[in-house]
Amino acid sequence: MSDNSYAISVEGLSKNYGTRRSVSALTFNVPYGSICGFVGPNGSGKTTTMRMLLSLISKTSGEGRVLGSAISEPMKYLDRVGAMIEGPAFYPSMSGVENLKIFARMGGLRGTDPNSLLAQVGLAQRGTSKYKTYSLGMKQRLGIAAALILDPELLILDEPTNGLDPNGIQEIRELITGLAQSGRTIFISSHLLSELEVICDYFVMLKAGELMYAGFKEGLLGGNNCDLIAKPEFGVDLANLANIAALRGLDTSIRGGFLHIQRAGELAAEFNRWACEEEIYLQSLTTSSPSLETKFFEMSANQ
Amino acid sequence: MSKSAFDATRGELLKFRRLSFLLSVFGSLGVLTLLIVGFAWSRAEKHSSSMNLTTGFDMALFFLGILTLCICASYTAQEYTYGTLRNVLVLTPSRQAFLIGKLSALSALIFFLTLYTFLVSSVVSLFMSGRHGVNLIPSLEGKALLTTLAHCLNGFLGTMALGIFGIALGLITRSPIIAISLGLLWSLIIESALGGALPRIGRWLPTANFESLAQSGATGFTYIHCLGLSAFYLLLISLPALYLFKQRDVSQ
Repeated sequence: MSDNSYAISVEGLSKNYGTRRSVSALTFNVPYGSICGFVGPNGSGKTTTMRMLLSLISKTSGEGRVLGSAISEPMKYLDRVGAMIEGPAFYPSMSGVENLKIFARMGGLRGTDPNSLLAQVGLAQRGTSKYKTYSLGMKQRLGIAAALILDPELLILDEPTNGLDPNGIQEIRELITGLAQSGRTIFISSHLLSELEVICDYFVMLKAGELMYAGFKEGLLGGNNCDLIAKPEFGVDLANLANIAALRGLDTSIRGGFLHIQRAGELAAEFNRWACEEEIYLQSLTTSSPSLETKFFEMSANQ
Repeated sequence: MSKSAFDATRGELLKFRRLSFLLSVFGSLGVLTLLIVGFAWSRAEKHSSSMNLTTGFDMALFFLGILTLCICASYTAQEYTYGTLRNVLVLTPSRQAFLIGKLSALSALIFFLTLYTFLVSSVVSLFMSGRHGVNLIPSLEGKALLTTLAHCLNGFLGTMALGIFGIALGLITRSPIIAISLGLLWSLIIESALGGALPRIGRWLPTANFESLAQSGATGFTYIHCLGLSAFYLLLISLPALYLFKQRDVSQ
């Protein structure tokens, strides 16, 4: 297993609750400086994995390293990690500022300015209001502010956009992108795959506690995974065009006057040449990446 | 104390620095102490030799003990119900440091609550004693003052014992309501019923023993006996609580 070259590195990590296996022999790495989307349906083991990485629960078997240190020695790395797990959790009868002060003190930080943290997450105006009066979006933002208390190298965020309206989601997206620009590694789980697709450059996908994919976005959504969409100059040539692709072993479908050729994104130039050789001229030829959602369902179905 | 335990203590102390909390706790304690001590003196006979500076304090300690048990159980268990324990343990990874911090902060609170109860009861006693022709001034002089202060310290120790009982219940049940209910059920009902049914064992029961400790001993029980027995009971409940706290996963 790689030791220090990844922000997170796990090998064969498993967690059982009684006889039920929640996480099954996970092996993946998360590179430093990446925004890693941790994707999977409810109950797939995302939160359990995050809890194990933060040493909130014990592993059943396997190994894990966070920022180069084994997860069995959380004292060695947790002072460089910020986290929001299972949603924000604060003392309801205290204000945002008071809550942040308490957690900063517990983290051994005396000079932390709660107001600057609140300003970072856009909560400066409501810092003195009691936590129980906050909207869901404000609670999520306070959760992120608390995760930033230690000015961490690695941020672990579990569903930070849960329950937010579109404006709130956009704000959190901008916040996370901004945090990543300062060199932090961000490990983020969400059900909103379209959101992760926009902000993440690395993905770890789970299903029923097992790993489906771990790697860069391009490997999942780009390259050979792109579809080719072609439109001939004359509609009558559509079937012939489909034949040209089919003869070369490519999967095709005709939708709305366009020929879709699956996973042929890298063959655009060649396909254009083949069409010309048959004297079919193209009005348009574009590539289309599958969405993360499409890819996720496709991979889920194949498993 | 390690740095992380010291930091945890400072963080815990911040939770008490709220006007609403301080007013409700010190306000209710002050009013009840005033009523209890005032009532005790109002029932006393003129020139009664049984009344002294700490009589009212001893009676008020019972309410202080119950209040302490509730505060400690609630402050410990709510870390689970609010989910804040996972935030805390990410910042203070040592569970030991977290517990030391909580215990230290609650000890400080209990110390000030005991001192406050002592001061309120003393002021009320001094005020009421004049009307009953009892002179309490000698209790504040020389060796008598030391005895009075030692009594106050024992009041703190007995109350602390109930506080630790509350913390242990909070850790075991992970629910403030269940922890407080169990604590009150045991202290107020089960022990009273057992003590009523079996008077010989009444003083051996935990809460009654903590009370005896707070009163610097009881009839037939020396102070050392109370101290030893209290330590035994605290160990008995703390060990499983500590084991569970160390082993349990932190999740909702």
